Amino acid sequence: MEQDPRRHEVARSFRRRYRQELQAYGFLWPALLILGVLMVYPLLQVMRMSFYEVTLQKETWVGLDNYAQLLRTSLFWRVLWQTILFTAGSVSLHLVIGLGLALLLHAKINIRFRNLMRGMLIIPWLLAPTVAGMIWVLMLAPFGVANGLLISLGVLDLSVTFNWLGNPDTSLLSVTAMNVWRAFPFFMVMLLAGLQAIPDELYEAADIDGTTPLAKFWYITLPGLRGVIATVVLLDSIWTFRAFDPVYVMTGGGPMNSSEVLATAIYFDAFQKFKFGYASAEAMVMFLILFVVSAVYVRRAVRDIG
Amino acid sequence: MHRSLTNVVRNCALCVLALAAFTSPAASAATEVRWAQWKTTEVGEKTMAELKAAFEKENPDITLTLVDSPFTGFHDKAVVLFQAKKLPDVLLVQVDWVAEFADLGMLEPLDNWIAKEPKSFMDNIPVTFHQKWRGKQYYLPIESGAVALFYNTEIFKNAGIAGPPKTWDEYVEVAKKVTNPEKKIFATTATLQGEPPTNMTYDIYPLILQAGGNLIDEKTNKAVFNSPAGVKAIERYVTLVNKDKVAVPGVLSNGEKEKRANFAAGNVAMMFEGPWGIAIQKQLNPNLKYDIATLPAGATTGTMVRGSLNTVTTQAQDKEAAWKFVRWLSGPTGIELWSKSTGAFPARRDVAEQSWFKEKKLFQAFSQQMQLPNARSPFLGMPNAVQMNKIMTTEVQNVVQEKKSAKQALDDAAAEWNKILGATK
Amino acid sequence: MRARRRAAHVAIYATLVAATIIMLFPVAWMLTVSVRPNVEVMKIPPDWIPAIFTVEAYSKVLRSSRYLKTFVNTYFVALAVTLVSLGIGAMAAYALARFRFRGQRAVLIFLITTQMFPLVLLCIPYFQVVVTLGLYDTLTSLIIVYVTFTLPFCILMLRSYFAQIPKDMEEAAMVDGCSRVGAILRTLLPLSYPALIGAGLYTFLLAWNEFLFAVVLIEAWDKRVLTTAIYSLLAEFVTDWNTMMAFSVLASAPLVIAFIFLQRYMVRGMTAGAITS
Repeated sequence: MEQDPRRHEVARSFRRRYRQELQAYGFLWPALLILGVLMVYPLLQVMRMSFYEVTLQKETWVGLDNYAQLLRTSLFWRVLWQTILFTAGSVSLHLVIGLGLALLLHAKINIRFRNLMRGMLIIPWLLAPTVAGMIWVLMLAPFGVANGLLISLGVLDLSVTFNWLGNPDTSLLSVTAMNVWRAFPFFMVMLLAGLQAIPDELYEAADIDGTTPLAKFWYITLPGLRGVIATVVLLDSIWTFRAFDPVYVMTGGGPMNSSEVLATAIYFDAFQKFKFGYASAEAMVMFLILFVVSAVYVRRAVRDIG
Repeated sequence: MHRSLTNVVRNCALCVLALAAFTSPAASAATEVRWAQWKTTEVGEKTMAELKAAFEKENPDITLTLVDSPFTGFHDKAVVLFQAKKLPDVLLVQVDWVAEFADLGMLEPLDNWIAKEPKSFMDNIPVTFHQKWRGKQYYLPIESGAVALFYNTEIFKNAGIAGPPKTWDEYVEVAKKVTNPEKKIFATTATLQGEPPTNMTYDIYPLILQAGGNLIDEKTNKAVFNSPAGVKAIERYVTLVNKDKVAVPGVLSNGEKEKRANFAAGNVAMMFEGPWGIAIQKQLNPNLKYDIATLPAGATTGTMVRGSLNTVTTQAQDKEAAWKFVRWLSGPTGIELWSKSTGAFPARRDVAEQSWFKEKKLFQAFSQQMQLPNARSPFLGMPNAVQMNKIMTTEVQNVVQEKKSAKQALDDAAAEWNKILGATK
Repeated sequence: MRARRRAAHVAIYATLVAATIIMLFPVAWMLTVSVRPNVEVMKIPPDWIPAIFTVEAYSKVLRSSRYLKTFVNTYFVALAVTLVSLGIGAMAAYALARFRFRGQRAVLIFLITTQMFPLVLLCIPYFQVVVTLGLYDTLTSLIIVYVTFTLPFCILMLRSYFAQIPKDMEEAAMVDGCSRVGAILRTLLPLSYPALIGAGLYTFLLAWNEFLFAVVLIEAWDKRVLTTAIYSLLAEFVTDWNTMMAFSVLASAPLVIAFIFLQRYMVRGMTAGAITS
């Protein structure tokens, strides 16, 4: 067969014109393939299932019924509210503790001492949420060390052994406390890095002007950290909002759903009650909420990338 | 650039191959019977290894593989495994699961095999375990037993109490006497944990029977526990927990595990428990001084009879081999071995009548309890007992939380039960 | 003035030490419980120092072939996930750092968005896909699933590092007759080892500590990983606290030790991972 010179020419110019694309996608395709198959397809699948009643035996089209049922269920709203409380509590305390410790570590102290303290303080973050949860379950048990400590300090009466995880009024609080403890080092490390990036000259100039430490914090430190704070708060909000392990391990959402969050509710609906369709609808609502929140983050991140 | 692409392709292919290498299923042995159960975590690996050895000695052509999972979550895992088509050959179940699992198509009816056995085989199995589901026998028991009262003799002696309470009133009296929060001693562990909802067997259903009530009316197939007797039972329970405060704190999250741990640690004076509890206490605290009596009576006596049952699954690789194991373990040799090694209450009359068992003092209370009126096992006839137990747990939790009156809660629970009972009629 | 500054200095040291003691108390409690007999665990008032020191819990874990298998499984899964994500991630990062191409922005947005996915959302379809492929109860299923959520992170982090390294060196190598891949292997990768270690450690940490998918996709004991094995100790009919804590100590030790030696890279990994630019 005779080669058509023009076709050859077209192919060459195509290759020249799309040189960058061909090269780039040559490197990119395995990642895109994996993420496409394992992120995009499942997402579409959940979206589809949220319109079906999916039982162990069969699937039936039900339109928006799952969503309607969801919005009518008071438990769903309660779980959503608890998820927000859990997230807001965790994130705000992460920020306060993380910033406090970062400021202390950033003070002019011995470098070895600083590295040692930072290294030790980071340990909670290295533990698996499962392990961290177990430690707290052990400590918060009715006859555990937390009650022992509170009784020795005179906070609790010896005649009451309080069941922190078994009381509907304190279960969510206890899980939040564990989560605060486990993840504050992330903030600490990030904010310390942020502090180190603020030029010393700014402080030196302020010293010459005789600015008070509080004013320095307010007018130099905080503005310098704004970007980092915004990023870590957004990220942590997303991570905490979707967190599953702390609640599942510590309380299983109980007692009486008092510590249930969206992630565990979805899990139990799917893998315990086997209501896959309803659970998918819940998951979609959660996804939409996260999507709106993360849109802010994505815009920031993309702007940074340029 | 072409070279880089081919490299990329080659590297990825290698990755995929490497992953695939770990997925190829292991070649299965000639005849393997996989037995999914939660008993290993209760009686220990050594006892189970002895059982395995004994079975394999008598059946050299079969290898018994123990697939063990803790009791918490066992029910849900079984359904998930069924979905994944990985259900083991023999599945140990609770009385509450038989109907549900059978309806899902997980269990193989055993009637054809049983028909080939001599008449004495089934005759020696207590009548409770002859209850069929939709006309078919899906299970054989490996152990049985009724709920009775365990009490710590040391605590009783220290509080100056002569013997176990025989009536509701005596129970309240004893409970108040032994409770001493300063010393961390309570009368009992009230267990209303929602997951798994097994505690109704111990805490609530016997009380309803003792008050003179019933759970389901056999003729009308309707829930009848919201009778005045039922209301009285719940009110009494809640008074003990909320007003008299004789139970360990955390009633909403305490379950069987906490109950047993508290009893073993000497934190509570009494617990409601079946004969399987003896083996568990031996593991937890071999030095504990305790005795067992029949449950205190209200208007009448009453208890729940339960058992652990073996089933052949529809996904079993070799159903004949699976049946061989089920028959062996529920037969005279198996039951005798199982009862001797685990301390379980034998699920066969021919074994329970053997002299070695009659000499076991602790078990006498259970034998007595079985003879008293209202020793029932309603679970085998409940279409979705797990769900129904959950409903009841939630409603009693509402009463403890003072969100509903006892009457209201029981009415609501009965309405939900009737929905389930009606749907499967 | 100097006295005041010294006082402030002392206050800072004291506060830091106090904060560290408070924050490490749970870890210390885990360690002491792991060397106590079980009867000593729940006691009011608590004994701060174990009255009886015993390593029975450790020997129980280390002598159980079943528990040891979970260590092997976890190492295998975490290492496989790390290697695969770093390999595929480095390729994708290279493309994003070195080329200007149509769709680049979309790919970046997509990568960032995937990090926001609620993982529990993916649970249901993953379970079905894994069952359909016959991969239920296999470590392969865990590796595949973990890679999907560690990969975007690896790509983003490596991309920002690659972008800082001048193109010249690769180009010089290519002029010397190397292929592009050869040039990358010889110049870019050796220069980026801090980012590779950082991203690798972080990926390893995620895979090592993951729990949700290990619960959903694995049932058999000989396939379980550390997190699910530790959790199942809680689900058993009696909680052996000292064994569980000894198990937890052994499970956390590799990460803490790795961190002590590679702290620098890890911190860089954390910061770079979150800021992505």
